Amino acid sequence: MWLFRRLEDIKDTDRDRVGGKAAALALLAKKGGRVPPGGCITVQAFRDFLSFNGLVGKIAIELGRKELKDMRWEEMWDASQRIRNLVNGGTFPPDMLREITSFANTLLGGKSAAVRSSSLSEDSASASYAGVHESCVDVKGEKAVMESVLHVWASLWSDAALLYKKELGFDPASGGMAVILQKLVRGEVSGVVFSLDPVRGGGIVIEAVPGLNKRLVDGRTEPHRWSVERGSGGRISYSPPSSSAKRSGKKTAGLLKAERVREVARLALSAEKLFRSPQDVEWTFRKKDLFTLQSRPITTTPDAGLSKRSVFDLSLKRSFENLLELRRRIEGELLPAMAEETRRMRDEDPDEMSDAELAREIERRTAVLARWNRTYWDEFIPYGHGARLFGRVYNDLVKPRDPHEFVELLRTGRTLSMQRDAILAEMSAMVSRGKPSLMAVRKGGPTGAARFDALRKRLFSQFGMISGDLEDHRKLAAFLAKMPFGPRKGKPGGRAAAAGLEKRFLSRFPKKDRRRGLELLDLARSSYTMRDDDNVYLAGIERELKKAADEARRRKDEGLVRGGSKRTLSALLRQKLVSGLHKPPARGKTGLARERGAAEVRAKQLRGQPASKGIVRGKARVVVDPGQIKDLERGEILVCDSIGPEMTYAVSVAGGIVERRGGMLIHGAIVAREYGIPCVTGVPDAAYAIRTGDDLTVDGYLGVVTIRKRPM
Amino acid sequence: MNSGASLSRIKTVLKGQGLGILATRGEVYPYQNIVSYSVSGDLKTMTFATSRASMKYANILRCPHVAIFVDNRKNTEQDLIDAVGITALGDAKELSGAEERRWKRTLTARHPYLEEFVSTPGVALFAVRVKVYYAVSRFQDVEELVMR
Repeated sequence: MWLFRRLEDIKDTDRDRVGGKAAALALLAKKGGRVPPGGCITVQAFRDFLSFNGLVGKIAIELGRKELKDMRWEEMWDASQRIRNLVNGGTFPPDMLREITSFANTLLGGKSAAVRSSSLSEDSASASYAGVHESCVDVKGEKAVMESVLHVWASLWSDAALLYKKELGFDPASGGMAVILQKLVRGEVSGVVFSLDPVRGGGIVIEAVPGLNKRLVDGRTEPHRWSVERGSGGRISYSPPSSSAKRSGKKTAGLLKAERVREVARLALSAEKLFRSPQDVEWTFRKKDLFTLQSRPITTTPDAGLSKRSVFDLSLKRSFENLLELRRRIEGELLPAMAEETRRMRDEDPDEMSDAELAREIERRTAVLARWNRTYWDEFIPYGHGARLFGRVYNDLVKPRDPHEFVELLRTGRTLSMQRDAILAEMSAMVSRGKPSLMAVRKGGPTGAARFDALRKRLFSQFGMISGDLEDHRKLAAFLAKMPFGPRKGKPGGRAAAAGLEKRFLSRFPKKDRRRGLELLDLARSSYTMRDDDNVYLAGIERELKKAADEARRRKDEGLVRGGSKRTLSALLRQKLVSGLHKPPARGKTGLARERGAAEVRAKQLRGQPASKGIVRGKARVVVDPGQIKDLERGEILVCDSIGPEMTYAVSVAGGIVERRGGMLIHGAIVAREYGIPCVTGVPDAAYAIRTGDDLTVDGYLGVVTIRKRPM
Repeated sequence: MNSGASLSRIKTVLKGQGLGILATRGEVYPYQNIVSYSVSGDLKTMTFATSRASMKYANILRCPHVAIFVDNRKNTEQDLIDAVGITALGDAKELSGAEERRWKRTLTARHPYLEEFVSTPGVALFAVRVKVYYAVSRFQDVEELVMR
């Protein structure tokens, strides 16, 4: 079975060996198209590589952790990184390496290459997989070329590919990946042409950017656009990029002259005729020559077939420049605005408002919370991608055995929740010494210990979330008494280890680029910290709305409101957002522990994702309603659907954490790693399969939770 | 009975397969699991790995006597004649130090996908010192091979 084929030797019948893109390029070349010289590393080579490195079983284990349909995008991203690491860490069988490098050296003669994906399912009429798999452009040197081949192979299981497979119902383990290796044609103008407008239908659409089209494909550069009527001599209309139009005020541009626009349009039509379906063709002009880089069938949009949620998930992947801008906006504008809004609300006491004022205030606060919730989804959540971007760069450069090693580098120990927990620790230590007494704390008011009172004031004013339960001074006293030695300190030894990893990471950059590495690390640390802090900020606003709603409920329950105000307040309290503040979340299905005829089915061992290393055994504390978090005893295993903002204060006393929601960068996982608490996330139905009191072992290395014994 | 021929047949089945059924003694009933195993060239030792939180681990700690069943059936009627089932009986011992490292290499050479699993702190590596093999073939032919 051959491992490599020159493009000119590929036959029409080779599609299942070379993938859709390579087969299309070979056909184009055969029919007289100008295609950069190159060849294809076949699907057989990919399979031999996997076998040679024992990766078939490892990838099957990785993909078998959980059914694809039950995975969130974050979990897919984590899985794709683990697989990418496995593939990147593999070695080529010697014969394969010789064959590929010998061809590459002859083809390239020291010049740059383009290394493109050509998967078996790619570019078929039903699924284009556009932008789902990786392509590496301007790759120079034998080592870099071979590394790019590994990246392309691994991208068979990229997060976007897994998302597509989930939505289209494909088996994640299926498929195969061939790789196209071509001499890079360094064109002066490059772009894509659609033989049929993918949005409006009708004409031909051309997009172009100066230089290589990588910046166009990954969305970093806004293109020049032309619409061309189909048929020879069709009318051309031009739209410049918005930035250049503003700058120059011109309505036309010289990036492509009319004659060249027509030549590109003809290329699209001939590809359409050849493949008998509308085509999306990548092209480049070098001097007078027009090259075809790839041609694939048009699907309606790049996101065709994906749900709205999946389109949103994929939009979270941002460029470094985009994230820097987001950071500036979040740190410079959004967080100060949020703090100011919270402060203003805190200054307006609902107790002192008339009924009508209170009703207006609830409406206003509901709108404020809704607005910040939108900001949370539109700006804070995408900012979390900074940590992921760093992780990918770290893994590609450092090639660690553990693909999540990079997270150790991001832990700063300075998250807001850790600052809050430090306050709690100090307060509990004071109570354990009897200064102040628990009795005095329970009563509220001055305790006689000035430092304690100052800390309590700061706790309530700065960390809104905690006072939801602990404003009640008796509850605060009970919580402090439960942890007489204070919550655990941050994970020991972390700083020295992180310094070592940082040094290792930066050493992979050439000296002149080291600053870029530092900038990326700094951005990632800020993004990682923000993933935890955003909850604290949002909870502050939620708390102020809750205060107003509580006051309205009190007046209503005590019969203190009359007339129109009563109807208004009742209507407001029925509103989803306000009422949701006081009710436990809807219970999910109790799938894993239920009666089935004569038998009871119970979970014994559950698999999720390892999110924080360590092994711990302890009693389970299942928390379905966030209010139950106060029952968590020191050393118990916290089992929940997800750790909400109002729960994080108690997490530091947990011995272990088990969450239904999956991902390495979710709040629970971040807090767990900061404290060195073993944690498994992404356990389906965790809060329903496990019962309070179950004797559990949490293995944060393997991502496994074992129910050892159940109380009778 | 030619012990050389039996040994060779048992070796063919054990080397040809990678998964077997491990039986341990539970508090009341036997307990069985599929395990990935490796076997030494002289057939005296079989190895497998398991999480220390597992039921089989707890069972072995309580009682080290175990059985491992390996067969080569293909789920066809012809299995009645062609399939060979091997049962190994012996005592399981958790390994540590140099012994653990050596057998870990053997196990992961046979099952590369276990590399990460056997390297995590919660996983124990066991060696079963085989005392006797039973080989069942052609429906009812049974051979016993006592290891020395």
